[in-house]
Amino acid sequence: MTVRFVALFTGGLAFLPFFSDAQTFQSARTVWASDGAGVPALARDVDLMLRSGELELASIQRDGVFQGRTHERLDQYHRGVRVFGGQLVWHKEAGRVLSITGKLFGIDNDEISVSTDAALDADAAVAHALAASEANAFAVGLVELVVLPMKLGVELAYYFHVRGDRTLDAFFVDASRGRILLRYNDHRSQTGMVGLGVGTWNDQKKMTVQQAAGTHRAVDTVRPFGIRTYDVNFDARTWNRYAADTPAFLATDADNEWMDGAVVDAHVYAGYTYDYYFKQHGRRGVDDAGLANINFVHIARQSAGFNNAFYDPVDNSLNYGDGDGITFNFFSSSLDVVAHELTHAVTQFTSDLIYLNESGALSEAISDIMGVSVEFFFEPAGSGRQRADWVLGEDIFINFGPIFRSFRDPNAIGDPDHYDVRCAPPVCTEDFDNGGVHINSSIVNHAFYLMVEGGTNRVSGMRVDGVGRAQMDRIESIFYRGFTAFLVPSSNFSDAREATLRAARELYSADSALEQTVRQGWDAVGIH
Amino acid sequence: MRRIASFLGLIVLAMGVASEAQQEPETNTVTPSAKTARRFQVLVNGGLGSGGRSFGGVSTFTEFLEQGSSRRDYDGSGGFVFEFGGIYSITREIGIIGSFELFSGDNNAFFEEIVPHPLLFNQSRSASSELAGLSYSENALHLGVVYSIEQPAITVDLFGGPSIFFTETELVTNVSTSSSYPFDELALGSTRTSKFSESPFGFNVGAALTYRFTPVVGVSVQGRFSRASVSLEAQEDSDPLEFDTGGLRVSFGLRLSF
Repeated sequence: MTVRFVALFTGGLAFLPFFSDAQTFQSARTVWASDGAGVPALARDVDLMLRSGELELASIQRDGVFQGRTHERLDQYHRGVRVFGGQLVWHKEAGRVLSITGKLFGIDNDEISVSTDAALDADAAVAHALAASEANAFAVGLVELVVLPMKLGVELAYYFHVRGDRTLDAFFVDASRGRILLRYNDHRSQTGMVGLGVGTWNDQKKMTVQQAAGTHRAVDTVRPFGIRTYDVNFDARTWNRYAADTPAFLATDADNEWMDGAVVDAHVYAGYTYDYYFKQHGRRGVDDAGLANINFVHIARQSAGFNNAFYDPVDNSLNYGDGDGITFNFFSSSLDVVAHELTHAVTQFTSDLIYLNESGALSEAISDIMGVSVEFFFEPAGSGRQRADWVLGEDIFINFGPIFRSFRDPNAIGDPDHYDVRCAPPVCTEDFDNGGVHINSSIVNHAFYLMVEGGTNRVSGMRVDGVGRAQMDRIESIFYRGFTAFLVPSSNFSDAREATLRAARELYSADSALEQTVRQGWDAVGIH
Repeated sequence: MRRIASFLGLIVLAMGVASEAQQEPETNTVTPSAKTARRFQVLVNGGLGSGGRSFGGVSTFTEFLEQGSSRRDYDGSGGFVFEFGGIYSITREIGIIGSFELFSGDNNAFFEEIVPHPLLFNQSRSASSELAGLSYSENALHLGVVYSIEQPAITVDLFGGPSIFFTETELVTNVSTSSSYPFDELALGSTRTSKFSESPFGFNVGAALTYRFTPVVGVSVQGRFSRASVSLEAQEDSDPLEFDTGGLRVSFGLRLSF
C-alpha cells in the first residue's frame, strides 16, 4: 500500500519547496508540520506508512533540553529496502506528536518503482569497490542493500564503507552490474584537528593543526586563540616578508605525524602557555582579547650559532634560534623558555615595562616566574629533562646540566640573590645587558622562590616561611596581578614589592598569611 | 521466520504424539474426575514477573590519537505478566501444555563516555548519566509436558518444556558529548535509543495449584521459571550485549475445563 499523503493539502502544514541535494540526489519532498491543526492529519498518514512498511522506526532520540521529549526517526522503505536519505522524525512528548519533519523521496515525482531483487551479491559489490581503492583498503561495517534515489534515476545499490590508510570512503555499488554509483569521503573531520608531534627530546605531544590543501598546517584552530608556527627554513627574506602572512611559509606536514622538534615544541608549548594563562589567570591570549600568536622557527642554521629566543614587540612574534647543535639544541625545546617569551608579550600588553635597568629586570623576572610556573603546571616536579624545577632553560642544553638561571640559588651561577649585590654601573650599564636585565632579574626570582618554598637568604640571613608547593598558585596569582595590573613602564623593584603586596591584600585580604609571606620574601632579598 | 516455523513444527509434532496417545484405550477404572472427564483446560493468568536482567558492555573508539570508550550498563525491573493457553490431557496424569506469555517491564541504563583530551595525552575526560524507563517487552510461547496430581478439589500440575521468546528491548545507541575550551570537562548532550529484537529458544519449568469450585471452573496459582539467552549487537566495535531473558513469573488465574 502506498500512502499518498492526504494531509498534503490540509491546512497548517508546510511542505517546503526546496530539495535535499539536487546536485547528486533526486528531488525530495520536505515535510514540516509543526502546528496544532496540521500535525494530527499528517500523523495519521505517517502512521499508515508505518503500518504499510513504507516507514520503519530507526531510532529514538531523547531530547537533551526538554525532559520527556523524544525524536523518533523513521526511515523510508521501498518494498522492504531502505531508501537512502529518506527519513521522517516524529517529535513527541508523553506520546503526543508535537511536530513531524523530514524528507521523503518519490512523493512528488513518479513513485519509486525500482526492483529490489539484487542480481549481484554483496561480496561481489565489495570486490568492485576494493578494486577501485588503494592496495591495502578493506571493507568495514555492514553492507546494506539500499534504494539510492540518484538524480539520474533510482537505483538499487549496496552501501558500505572502505577504509584506506587514512581514508574512509562511502561506496554505493549498483546491485545489478557492479558499477560504482556514488563514492565520497566519509571522514567527518573538522577543519581543526589534532596530529601527532614528536618533540626535540623525542616526547610525543598533540599538535593542533589545520587540514588544508592536501596537507596539514601548523595552525591551531582548536583553541579559541590562534597559534601559527612558521618555518622560516633559514631564509632571512622569508622571515622578513612574513608580514604578508603567506600560508606557504607555515610549517606543514603531509601525514600529520610531525617529526620536526623545533616546530612541534614551539607550537605545542605556546599552546600550553596559553592554556596556563587561561586556566590559572583567566587570561584569553597575550592581549586578553584573543590575539593570535605567531612563532618562527629555523630562523638560522645551527652553523650560524643563533643561540637565543626572543619576543618581537613590533610584529608580536616569538622567534626561536636553532642553537649551535653543540651546546644548545632548538630554543623552543624548553617549555619554560617558550612560556618566558610569551610572557614578554603579556607584559607588552599590560605594564609594558621598559626593557632597561630595573624595569627591564622586572620584565625578565616575571617572564622567568611565569616560565617555571607553566612548567609546574604541566610537567611533573623533579630534576632531569622535562621536569618542573627551579631553574630556567635546562632543557635547551644538549648535555643536560647547565642552566640559564636559578631561582633557588642564583649565586651558584654568578647571579645576584640580594639587592645589595645587584649588578650596577659601571658593570651593568645600558650597553651591557640593558643595565643587567637578565642578571638582576634573579633577585626577584629568588624572592618568588622563597615565598613558595621558604628558606633563608644567603646575604641577609633572613628566613621566609614559604606557602609550600601546594599553594604556589596563590603566589603566582599575586605576581600575575601585581605585575599586569599595577606596574607601569618605568616601575622599579620597590614598585614591584608594593604591587604584589597590594595584589595579596586584594586577593587574600589584608594582613593575611599570604601578604606576610610576600612581605617576608621581599624583605629577605633587600627590596623595600 | 525460519526459527518460528521450526518451533511451530515442534508443536505439530507434539500434537501428533498426543493424538496417538489419545487413541489408546482408557484403562483406569476409577471414577473419572473432572479433569479426566474433561480433556481440555483453558488457562488465563495474570501476575508479576521478576526483573534481574543485568547486562552491559564497553565499546572503544579512537579520537585525538587516543582510545576512548563508551560504557552501557542495563538493569531490568520486574513487570506485569499475562498468560493464556491450554492443557490437553493425554492420560489421567500426563498432558501437554501450551501457553503464550506477555511480559513488559522497564530497563534502566547507566552510560559513561570517556573521551580523550584534544590537547593533552593521558587526560581523558568522562561524563556519565542514567536513563530510566527504557522499554522492554518479552513475549514467549511455552510448550511442555504436564504431570498432574489430582485430589478431589485440588490439582497440582508440574510442567516443563521448550520455549521461544520474542524480546524487544530499547537500548542506548548514541550519546552525544560536547566540550569547550580548555576542554577539561565533558558535557553530555542528547541520548539516542533504538529498539532491538531477538527470538531465542529456551526452556520453561513450573508448577500450578488449581482449586476447583465446580468441575468446570477453578482458580489457580502458578509459578514458572523460564530462560533463554539473548545476544544483541547494539554497539559497533563492541562485543554483543548478552543477557538472559525470562525468569521467575508468579501468576494467578482461571482454569476452565471442557
